[in-house]
Amino acid sequence: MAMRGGFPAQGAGGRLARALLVFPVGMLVVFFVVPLIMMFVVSFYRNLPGAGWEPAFTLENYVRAFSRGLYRDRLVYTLEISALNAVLCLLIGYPFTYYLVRLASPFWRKVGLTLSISTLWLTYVVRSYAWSVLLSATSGVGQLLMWLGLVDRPTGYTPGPVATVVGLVYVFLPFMILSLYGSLRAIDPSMEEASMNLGARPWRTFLHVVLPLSLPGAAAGAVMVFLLTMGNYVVPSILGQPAQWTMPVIITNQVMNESNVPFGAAMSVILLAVLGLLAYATGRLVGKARVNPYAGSRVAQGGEGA
Amino acid sequence: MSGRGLRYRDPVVWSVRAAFWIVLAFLGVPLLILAAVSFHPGRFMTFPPQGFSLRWYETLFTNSQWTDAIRNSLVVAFASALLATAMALILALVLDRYPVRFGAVFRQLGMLPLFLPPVIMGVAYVSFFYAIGFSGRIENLIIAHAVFNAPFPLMLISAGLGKVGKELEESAMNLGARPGVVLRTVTLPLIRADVFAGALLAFILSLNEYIVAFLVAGFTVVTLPIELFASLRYSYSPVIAAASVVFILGTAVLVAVADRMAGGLWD
Amino acid sequence: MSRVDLVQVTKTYPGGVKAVDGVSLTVEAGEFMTLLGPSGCGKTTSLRMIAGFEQPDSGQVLIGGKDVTRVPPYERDTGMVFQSLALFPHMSVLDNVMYGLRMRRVPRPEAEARAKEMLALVQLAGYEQRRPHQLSGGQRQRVAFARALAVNPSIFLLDEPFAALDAKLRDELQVELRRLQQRLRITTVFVTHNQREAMTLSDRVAVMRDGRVEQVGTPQEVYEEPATVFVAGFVGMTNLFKGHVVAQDGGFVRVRTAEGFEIAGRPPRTNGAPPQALAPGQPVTVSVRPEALRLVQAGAAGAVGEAGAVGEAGTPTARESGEAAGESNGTGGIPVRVDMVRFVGELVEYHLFTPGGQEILCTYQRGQAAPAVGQGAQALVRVEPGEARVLWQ
Ligand SMILES: Nc1ncnc2c1ncn2[C@@H]1O[C@H](COP(=O)(O)OP(=O)(O)O)[C@@H](O)[C@H]1O
Ligand SMILES: [Mg+2]
Repeated sequence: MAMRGGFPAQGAGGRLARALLVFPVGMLVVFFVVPLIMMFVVSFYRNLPGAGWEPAFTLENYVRAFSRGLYRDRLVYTLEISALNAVLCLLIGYPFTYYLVRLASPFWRKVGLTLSISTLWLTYVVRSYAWSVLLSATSGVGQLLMWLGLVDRPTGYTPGPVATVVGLVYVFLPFMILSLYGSLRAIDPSMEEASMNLGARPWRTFLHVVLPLSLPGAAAGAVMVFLLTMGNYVVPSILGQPAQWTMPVIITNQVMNESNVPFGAAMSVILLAVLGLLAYATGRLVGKARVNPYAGSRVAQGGEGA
Repeated sequence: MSGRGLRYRDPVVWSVRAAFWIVLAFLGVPLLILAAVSFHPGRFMTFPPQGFSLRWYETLFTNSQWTDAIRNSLVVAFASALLATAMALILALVLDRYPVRFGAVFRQLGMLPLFLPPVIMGVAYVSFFYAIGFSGRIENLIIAHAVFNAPFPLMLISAGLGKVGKELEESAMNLGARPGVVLRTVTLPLIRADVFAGALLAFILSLNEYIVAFLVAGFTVVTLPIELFASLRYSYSPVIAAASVVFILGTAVLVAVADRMAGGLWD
Repeated sequence: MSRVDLVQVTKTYPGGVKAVDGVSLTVEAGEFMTLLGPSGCGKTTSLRMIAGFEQPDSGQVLIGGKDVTRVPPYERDTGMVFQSLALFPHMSVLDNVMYGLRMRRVPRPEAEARAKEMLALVQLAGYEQRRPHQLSGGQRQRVAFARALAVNPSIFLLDEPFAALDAKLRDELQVELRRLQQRLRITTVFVTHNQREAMTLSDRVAVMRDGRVEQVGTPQEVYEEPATVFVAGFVGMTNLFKGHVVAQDGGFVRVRTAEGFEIAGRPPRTNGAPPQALAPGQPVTVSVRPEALRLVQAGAAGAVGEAGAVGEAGTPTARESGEAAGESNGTGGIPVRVDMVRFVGELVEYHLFTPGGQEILCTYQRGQAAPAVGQGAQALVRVEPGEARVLWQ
């Protein structure tokens, strides 16, 4: 940032101001940078079952993560389900957001947007839990299917693959909507009118005008959902069986249940590397659309995800 | 509510319109069912609820297992929001106004926690706090949440400062106000809403955060999301639904307030 | 009321833009000085250095003869009106106007009385408790004036305060500003890119270009005796003819234009330096104001007759395009084709083309006997003797 004119850079005021920076920057270094470095270091430590770890330089954690089929499978599964979730969110979110953006009344548009992203702030725990109620045998869908006469006795779908996918879509759809909303909102409706005025039918108008213009927002949203899913712990662990567990679940189990922090740290380093690579690659791919995977993740920012 | 620029009778329009309402229902219905379940008087969740009772809300606010969790959550959220906002305010103000070497780097550092998956942050904290022999304390969680959520007040305050612009401050200085007085009489009053909204966001995020809290102090400091998570593993009591409803309402109100203060968080 | 001196002031922004380049300028006590120039020429930067918001890389800023180059803005005692006005949105009109007084520790009752007096001066009595957003554009402007002047500053600075206003309101406020300034006899530095505004308001104008001052003078001087081609073109409309010196005789310089016509004009301003002789062949530009051109119908008596003897051969262009008209000098005429005649309120504009394709603008005041030539007509333009000015190229 350029300096603001007028605030004298020199002098007591400037010195005091810069001295104050020690607090936030110090916090960030000590409680953000150092812990990450520490995690990297610990990933080379040796685990002592039941007694913490001992400092060492061993690659055994990494060897274990790569040699065991189990962990490789989990990583591949995590990538797969994240991609699936990104595609589903895009397919569901696009028509929804397009309709929302084209609502004539600003009031209803605002209401629609607010409703559709109102769950964004709510803890994943409650959101996953809502689906575990809804998909259980005793409440919601199970009862509904029996009432409709489709099944003889109430069946539950949770935990399981269906519940996991439904839960992931439910939890991350608002991010997709937000990302799409920004780019679709930026398209002037008169452009569509111009296209139709030139004789294009609505479908062709959409294909030639709206779709290309909204592509960056759609791509950014898909990448965001993909990367967020890769980092999510709560949904697969509440709505999934072990077959649906993703890397974050495996890592947390290692750290909290097995007390194997070095191995958890090694897998975290691997996950971080994969995420970084993917974010970099997709960032290049998407080009100008800014891909900030974790930006939009926890807050809505006018669909920019910045 | 007809779509502008679309033909009303087009079958595509009809299916899009139907999809719109289905998605809205998809997003809203689970929470409504949760709310309904929370009024079920029986000991196991059932839908539709057989009767109406507030007993689970009573349990939520009297049972020490839940009240402790609520208290912990509020303490952590409040303290970490305060800390996060203080960090963000200083960072935003100083970097905006004074030439600081590596200023851009510091700002990016302040935004960086936003880009890290929470699980990985959690593992980093486990490694760090264990290594320095300081595990499982509530202070750890407060600090972790503060650092992790600081980007939000940082973004809002920076945006607020951008909106204020430099001319108002220069004008004050031109009229004889020293920098400290400018800050007190012009800058801070004008960004007060942004600061408050930022603090509120940090508060909400901390209140709702699960995995970092679980990893940093999950066995010692039980917050409301942790208690919820644990309960739904082992029981099927409607008190969980009641807690969720309280969560939903609380979050909704706070988000609405923050949205107001920041002048529209998303439009 | 103090004078302001900029002494060899230079300012380069971090990006490497040299915004102000060796500017020296004196604003006399009580004078209304306008910095005039196109956007990006360094006007705002100069003003901000006087106010203390920017520090020059070299050179000095003096207020009342005192070097204030390193004095922070809050100790400089200038009253500035910003382009955005910068009224504090969270304060009432009264609090806005009192702000500077309170910063100077004037006790509240006294400050309030003074602020009310200032508001009355700008005809805003009764608006004390409004917020800025509850005022009209013109009223806000007046509050900004009152706020800047309430502290009785030694220098009044204004950065394009009227740029965003519509023409009518701008005129009203210009008159009001001038009245206010003359009443308070306050040294004023006004920034604008609008030459009309500069001409009508100022005691003197400093015309700036690319971070330098090209000319300082009264509006009349700057208009009638531009020092450079840039000033001639920027201040008012003018017709510029490139050419080279033929000879200097008497008070006039004879110039042959690129098309081969001859125009006599007064020699360049010397800005006090001893006059430099213009050698024959020296490339120069001649500036002729549209109102200094007279239009006569082709073939009218005396129009071509006086054309000097066909002198030295013209440039090749002249030969090709000169045709029948041949050479002409200050008292002769330039053959033109009338392209368009426009009535602009008090003026009649003639848009003309020379045989070589140069556009010429010629204006007559309403009421002056304008020649009856229509579109497509052939005519001659003559330069009123002594009205052309020769400028260094
Ligand atoms: N803060 C700044 N940083 C970098 N360049 C600047 C800054 N302010 C102005 N400039 C540049 O300096 C030159 C002069 O600007 P300015 O003084 O604002 O001109 P004017 O007011 O005459 O339009 C311009 O080229 C402008 O782009
Ligand atoms: Mg300017």
